[in-house]
Amino acid sequence: MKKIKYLILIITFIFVLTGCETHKEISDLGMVSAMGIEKINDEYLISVQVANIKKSTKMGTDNSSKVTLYTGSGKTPFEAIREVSTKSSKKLYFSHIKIIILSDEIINDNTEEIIDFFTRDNEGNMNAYVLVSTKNTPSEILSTITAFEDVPAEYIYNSIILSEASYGNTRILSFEDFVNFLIKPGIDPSFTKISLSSDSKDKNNTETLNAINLSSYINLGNILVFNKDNKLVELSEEESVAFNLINGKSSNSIITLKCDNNDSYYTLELMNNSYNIKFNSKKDEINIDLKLTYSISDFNCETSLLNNDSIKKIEKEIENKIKNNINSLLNKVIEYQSDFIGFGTLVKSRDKNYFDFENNDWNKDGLSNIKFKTNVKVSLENRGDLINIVKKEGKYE
Amino acid sequence: MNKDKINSFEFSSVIPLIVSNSILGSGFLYLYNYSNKSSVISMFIGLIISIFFILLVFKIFNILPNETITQKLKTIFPKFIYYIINIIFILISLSISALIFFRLTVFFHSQFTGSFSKYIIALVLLLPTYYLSTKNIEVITRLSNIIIFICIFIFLFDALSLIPQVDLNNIYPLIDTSYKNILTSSLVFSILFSGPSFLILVIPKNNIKKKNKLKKYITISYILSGLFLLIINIITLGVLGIDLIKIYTYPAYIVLKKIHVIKFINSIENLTVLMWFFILMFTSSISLFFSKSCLIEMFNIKNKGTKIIINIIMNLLIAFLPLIFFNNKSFFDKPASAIIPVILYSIIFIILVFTILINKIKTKN
Repeated sequence: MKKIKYLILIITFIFVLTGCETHKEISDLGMVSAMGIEKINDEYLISVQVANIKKSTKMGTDNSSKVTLYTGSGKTPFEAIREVSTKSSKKLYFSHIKIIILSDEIINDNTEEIIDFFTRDNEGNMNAYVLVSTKNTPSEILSTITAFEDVPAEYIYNSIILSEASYGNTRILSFEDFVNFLIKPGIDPSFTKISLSSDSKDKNNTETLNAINLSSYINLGNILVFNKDNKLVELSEEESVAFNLINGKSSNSIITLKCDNNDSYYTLELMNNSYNIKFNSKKDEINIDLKLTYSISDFNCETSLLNNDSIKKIEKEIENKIKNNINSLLNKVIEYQSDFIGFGTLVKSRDKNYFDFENNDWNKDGLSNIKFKTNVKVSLENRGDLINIVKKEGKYE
Repeated sequence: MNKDKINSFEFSSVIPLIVSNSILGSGFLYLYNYSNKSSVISMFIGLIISIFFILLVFKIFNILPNETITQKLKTIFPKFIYYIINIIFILISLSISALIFFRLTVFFHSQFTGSFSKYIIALVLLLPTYYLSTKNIEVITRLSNIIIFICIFIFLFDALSLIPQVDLNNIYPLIDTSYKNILTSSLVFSILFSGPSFLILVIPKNNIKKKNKLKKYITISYILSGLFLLIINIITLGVLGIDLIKIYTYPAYIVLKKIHVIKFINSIENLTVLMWFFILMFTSSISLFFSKSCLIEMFNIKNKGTKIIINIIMNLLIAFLPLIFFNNKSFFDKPASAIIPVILYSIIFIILVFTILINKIKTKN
């Protein structure tokens, strides 16, 4: 009797589990690595970069692309994606998407529709990075072949991580953070700009990869923010770096300064960034404290690095430059009436009664009352392997 | 069943699983929508208030230690009142089981199998639930022993992976809403947390071997359960932020999508959600077991065949009845749906209070 019971149980499981009506084989799925969204004539145009799995498994001298670009259009983003099925033999699978490129019209006018479509679907990857293209269309950018990576989305993904840390003029914005910044009071979104370096017609040609000089490549930076007319504007490179310094994102960025005695420049590399932003509700003041540690990477000045006074002078110069860049950034916050740094969230978390975020506009009424105080403390940690600069004919100081 | 012997550790391992289930469902939704960021404070106050309810349950547990809850009610109350109270217990525990099962089915359907029929999913989930409800309490507590270690491991992994992503600005200020909302949320949380404890009354106290460590294990179980829920709340709030939490149906599941460890361990939310699956499945099974035992003892059913039929009918009822009645599940996505278990548990507590009072009067006389 027991054996019969177990047999019935096993047979029921077999019928129910191996049925798996909605299962999909991996080879039937089109893995989307990047997506571009733009609007043309009131219709959404969506470009998806799909891994060309069949061809990518081939070894040897196959120079064909490892990804394929499909485009679809429709009145809603979902309809546009479904239109792609008329061109693709595989069902699009979005769980591994890494990059989402939005055109500036989408950012200015249609953000809520994009967010709803991507957030509602349980297959979407909310950790995908969002970038905005203002000069080129997302489909143009996604159809550009890149060096180093077979999948251009990987190239963009790795580039943005590297550039945020090493150069500091870009910012990593995941789709989830993008949604959060839109719905959260006290902070406005900011994006990294993506564009092509030239309008070369060879950007789709794999033979260009054989050339040493790439005629067209994907360019990242600077940071884009909204101004008071709700249009996207670009921050300067120094302001973008200052933005990342304040947020503690720039772990290895550089700063270049002019030498005192000659027309040369010297470059320092950031080694450590300790930041602290405090809000004092009684004084209506926000204090930005930065403690930065730099090391000298490239020094062509005629100043001796063995001299303590010289070192202090260099530190002071760096402090002044960074302070100026931060002040320029803060002026942009006030001028654009756009709190893209997130001071509003800090104010709300430290003193919820200070400003009524629900009934008043923080950007217009709140920001203007805040005084900013910036303290930058720089220390030079490392001079590298040289104690003197290399001069002609072996003349050393 | 009166002959089954379980040890104190197995008995106390049931507690964290049953007390966590209501909060993981609509409990968190209610807390976030009514007390916003103050849900942390609400939970803390709720844990303190729940001590009263837990002591109530254990007071009943200590009365007539040789008997199950049904037998205790039979001894304390006159026959007619005993039947009514027992039927209330059966209906409430069946409703709790049905509610949990429904939430589990709907979650699976919405997240994993969009076009697969909900009834087939319910049938698949029903098989282990039915199998567990046919076993005796010894097997159930041994299973809870295993599940608790799996859940602890998954919880620690999740917590340690997500803690670096917590932004304190999402948690502050701690008092974000009115004191009335905080107190109401605290009361709701305390009832949801302590309410399921009545399920352990199906085990007579004297069936527990080596009772010298029982009090210590029970205390530790409740403290750890409270800590577990508090940490989940803080992490969900700190990672997502209250504004993002309010747009999602299952925020505590969405936050698992943010786990990203050593570059290649990501998108494992469907694995780590097993913890919830075990908790909900186990509580649904033990609620079913409770109602089945009460029914069998009430009518003194000894025939094995009849017991099997009762079990099958009860299992089918909890699996399919809610799906038929609540096909449009939008009510259960609302925070107010947490009020249903609160009302059910409150009725249980009122009955327990009366039981204690009547027993006291009887012993005095």
